[in-house]
Amino acid sequence: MNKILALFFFTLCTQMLCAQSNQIGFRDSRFFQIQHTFNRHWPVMLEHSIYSEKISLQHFRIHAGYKHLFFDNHFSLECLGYFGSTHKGSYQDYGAFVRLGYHFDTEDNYSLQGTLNPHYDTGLDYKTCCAISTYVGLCHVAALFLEYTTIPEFRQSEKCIRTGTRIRINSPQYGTLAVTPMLSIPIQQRYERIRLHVNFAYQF
Amino acid sequence: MERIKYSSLIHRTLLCVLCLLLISSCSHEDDIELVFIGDSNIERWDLGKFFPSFITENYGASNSGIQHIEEYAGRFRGKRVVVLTGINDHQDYEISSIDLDNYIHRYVSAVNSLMASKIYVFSALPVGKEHSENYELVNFTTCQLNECLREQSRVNGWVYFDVYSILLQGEGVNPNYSLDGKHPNDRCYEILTKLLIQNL
Repeated sequence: MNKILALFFFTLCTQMLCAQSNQIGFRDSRFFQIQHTFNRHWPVMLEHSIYSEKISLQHFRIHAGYKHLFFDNHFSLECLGYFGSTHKGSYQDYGAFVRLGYHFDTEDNYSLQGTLNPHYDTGLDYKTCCAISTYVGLCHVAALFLEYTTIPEFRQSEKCIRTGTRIRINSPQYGTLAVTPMLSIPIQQRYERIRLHVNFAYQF
Repeated sequence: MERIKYSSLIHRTLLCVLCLLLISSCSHEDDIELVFIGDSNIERWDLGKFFPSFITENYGASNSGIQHIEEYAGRFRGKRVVVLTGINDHQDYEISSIDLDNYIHRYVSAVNSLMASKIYVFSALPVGKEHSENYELVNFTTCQLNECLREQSRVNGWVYFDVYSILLQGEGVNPNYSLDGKHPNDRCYEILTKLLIQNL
């Protein structure tokens, strides 16, 4: 399976080299992501965990789907299906992200987004998760981020409030770099379990 | 132009084939479910973060002792259970040898009554001067308790982890592993996590 995953990674890399609209990044400090978008509308993404565990317990996930901007780029719709597994196959998860967003300005400094996530885990069964998030611009490069989510950060679903600041620099020549340090605060658990995450994305 | 079109088509087809292969080639090994029970040291353990590949349940309760475990008798039949408790039962007084015998007897009964398929027992952790003026006395008693736990683990077939000696520095807890002299910090939880995962 690792050979196939390496092949997939290699294919994605070669495709990225000969086309535009690519993204690399980290999600929640623990997942490395590499994404390529075909014809502006068809994203394919490989996500791989970087847990401090042995390779057989690392988790990978493949996303593919469709995204579209309409009404003068004020509305966005994204539908992504995914399949994931640990390398040793101890569990698999599959599901979809359906994201609908409203962008108050074209620079995306003020926006509101809802996500529906039907999610199935072979060990935990089916669960419908959701998230609602907003960005409020503080200045040209920084925006305050606030989110309520039940989408699993790792494997199990938790109700969390996440807040942070997105710092984004846009260069027509070099692409867009966005860094979002954030706190994830579980609602039903003790305060000691507040997590610090960093999301990072470079679009080129 | 024609060439780019074909190249793109080939790439897409290849990606689809690889996705299908990936889905169909997954080996299947058992998923691991872990139940954690004990005092605040369990309750504060961010299991989602430290065990992202496993199914975990946290039954830790602050200020609880062996009575908390007794309340869950028969609840975890067939599951793998991780136990860390003891400090709240003896930290405010000195346990005499008779008390310790009684306590260990109660501890063994409580843990076995969980009906778990496998038991993982962590030694009680040392405390520091930030937590108690009598920390040396508390740690002396904890040491005695842990010796009994080690012996009972051998007798009962539990997996025992001696983290007391790892966390001890001088007469108290190593300040690198605890901020308040009693509760582990993330660095300490990483040690506990690694010990456990290596023995699953």
